[in-house]
Amino acid sequence: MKAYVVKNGTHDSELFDPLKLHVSILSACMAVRAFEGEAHATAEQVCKHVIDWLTDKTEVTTHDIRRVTTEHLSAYHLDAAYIYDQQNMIV
Amino acid sequence: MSKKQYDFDLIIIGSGAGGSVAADIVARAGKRVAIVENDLLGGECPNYGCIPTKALLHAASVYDSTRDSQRFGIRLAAMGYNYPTVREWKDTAVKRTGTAESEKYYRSQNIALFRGKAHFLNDHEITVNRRHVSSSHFLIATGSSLSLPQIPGLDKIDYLTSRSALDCTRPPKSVFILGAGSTGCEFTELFSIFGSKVTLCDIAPRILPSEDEESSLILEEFLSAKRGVNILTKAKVISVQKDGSALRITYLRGGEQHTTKAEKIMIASGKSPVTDLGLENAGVEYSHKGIDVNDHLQTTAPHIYAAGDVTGNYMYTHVGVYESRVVANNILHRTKVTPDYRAVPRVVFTTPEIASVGMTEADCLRHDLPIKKAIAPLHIVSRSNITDDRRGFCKVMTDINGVIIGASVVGPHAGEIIHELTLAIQYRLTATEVANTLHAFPSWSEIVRVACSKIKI
Amino acid sequence: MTNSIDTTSFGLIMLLLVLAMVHSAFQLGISVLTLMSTHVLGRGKKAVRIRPMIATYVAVSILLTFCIMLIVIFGEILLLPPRSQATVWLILALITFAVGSIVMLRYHKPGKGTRLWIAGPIVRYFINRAERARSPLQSAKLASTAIITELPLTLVIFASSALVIIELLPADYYLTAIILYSLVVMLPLSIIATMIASGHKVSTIQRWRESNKYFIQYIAAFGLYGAGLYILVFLIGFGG
Repeated sequence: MKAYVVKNGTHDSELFDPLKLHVSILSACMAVRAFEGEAHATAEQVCKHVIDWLTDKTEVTTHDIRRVTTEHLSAYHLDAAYIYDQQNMIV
Repeated sequence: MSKKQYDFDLIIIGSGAGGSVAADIVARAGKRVAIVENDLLGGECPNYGCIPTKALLHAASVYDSTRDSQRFGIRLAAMGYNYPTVREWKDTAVKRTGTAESEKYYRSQNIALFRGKAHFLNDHEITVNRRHVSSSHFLIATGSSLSLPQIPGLDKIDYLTSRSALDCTRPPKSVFILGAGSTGCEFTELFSIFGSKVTLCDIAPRILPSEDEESSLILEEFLSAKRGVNILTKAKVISVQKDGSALRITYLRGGEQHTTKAEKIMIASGKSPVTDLGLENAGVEYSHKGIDVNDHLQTTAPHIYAAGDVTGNYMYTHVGVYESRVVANNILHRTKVTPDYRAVPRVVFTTPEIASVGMTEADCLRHDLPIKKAIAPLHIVSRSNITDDRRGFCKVMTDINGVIIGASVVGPHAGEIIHELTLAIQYRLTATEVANTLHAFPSWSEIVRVACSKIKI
Repeated sequence: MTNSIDTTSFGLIMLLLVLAMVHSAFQLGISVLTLMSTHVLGRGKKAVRIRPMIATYVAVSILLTFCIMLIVIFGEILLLPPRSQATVWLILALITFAVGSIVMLRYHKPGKGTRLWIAGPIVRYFINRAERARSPLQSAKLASTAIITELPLTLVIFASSALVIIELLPADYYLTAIILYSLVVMLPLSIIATMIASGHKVSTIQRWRESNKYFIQYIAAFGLYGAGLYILVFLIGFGG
């Protein structure tokens, strides 16, 4: 089943894109100076967890994706999880 | 979003005990109500829980009494059972609950029904199969699901749960049941009667750890002596692996590692509330124990209520029904009601049946409550003599003024007998008042009178 | 204008220092720098590539602060009527109190992160631009936007500091004072920029900022209250 992601505060939704998630997790890992290989592996694992979580869902919000990703990412890299979570809360 | 723009006045997530009653009450009051259900209508109890389990247990009990009937002069040419027919009986019992017809009923009550998984988008809106619906109020009654323990190897094998065990085509030759709560003990009873070699394991120091110690001991004695159940208390399972056609289970007990084999392993180690529905988007706080509710069953978002197993309070169908009623009242009326949990009866449908209500002795000790207690053994009532059922007792606890605050009954029909004591606790009756009430002779309920009369103020 | 250091001068120097420190406590520039660094580092390029962008950011911030200060000083010299200093100080004191109250009550948004009470479109602009920043020119644009966005709050500090410089120093020293002022104000930004450029984790820096955000906010607010009070009592009351 494909899950859709609703943008917070709107009714617009788009199909969940695992690649987009992978890139954002990778970016968070690289931002905290993780090694590239480690970052890729972490991104892959976390993406798998998020995709598993989405299995029984048809529609979630971007906030949900961020929350679940942060939760799983913190098991692999606390600093990356922190930055991933905080990205939209710095300014 | 203004009130006028909401699609419904109340959306209930879950059509089980915690949701269906409120739907009915609120719809009858003329409000626009919708129910969202992801699985079978009626929830767990009629489909996968109480009804099918107790139907199987009833069949097992009939078989067991028949096996034991020779001492009453009953002779049987052949004794046996046909498990597919037993399963058919279970299916008949489930069908008779009528939950499959619920959809027609909801339609007749103008209750909209959405099939799918609900997910909160914000505090007044959910999505069900990508359809967005809004409401001024919500009731979360999503119930609970099996809590899987973190045991290495468990994810690589097929394990039984209280749900999948109902669909077994035959009782397993041997089964290792992890969790000695009410579910674990009931399935132990079921499988052992139908000939399975059962091992019952729990990390707690006794089976039924939330009941009174005397109740646990009686059942433990009976299960090991009469049913041949191997009981492993204070044991922790550390791994499970496939070993040919069987399973090898390794556990720690008494500081040593042990191994045992069984055809199947059943996980009955407890349940956790179902809270994965985007509650953060609605501002509803929750923990692993359940959704946080106040005295009026309101969550941290005041227009969102929760009832039943999902609150993590008392995981019983009758409590779910009660809370559902309370929520309906609190939504419809300005004066809010607080549920009263002093007299929640709980029954374990084993042989002997174990029923309790109110506080246990351990609860009283924990709260430093001075109590008076009396225990009346079952064998002193005449009914015990008639039926030759001597295992059991009735224990009554009162405060220092003699008002009953807790009770437990172990024995035949304990699940019926306990309701007299439930009423007594609900209406703050004293042990003397109960003892002075007539009890029919020779009924099992006499045991209550005897126990109450033993309490002296 | 005075040519010697005395008690009044000492008070003015202290006032200038307090104003500079309060000014440096404003966080938007640092937030934008942190956000930009997160995105640049997140692209997986070698950390050294971030250095030109950070250096440009800091340089532009200092330069713009210098320019604004210069404009304000000359604006005050040219536009203020003669013998109107008491009135001007009174107005500045009142505005300082007002800004102090705004900072006290509505600077950092409650909850996680270091979000500030700025308009949504501006926040989105910063987030989008920071995500897309790939060159020193783009980081320069971000730096200048951050400085200008904070002007509604920092203008009174600029004005008060400018007036102090005018009162305290001869005209020959204005430029030096402005340079020093700009450097002091941008000191926290420079420190954080140096930390990021030298390999510190952005997460460590952000964690520190998050856990101390209210402390910095209240220090800035009380600093503004203190400055306003000093102006009222010593500069106007006792005739500065």
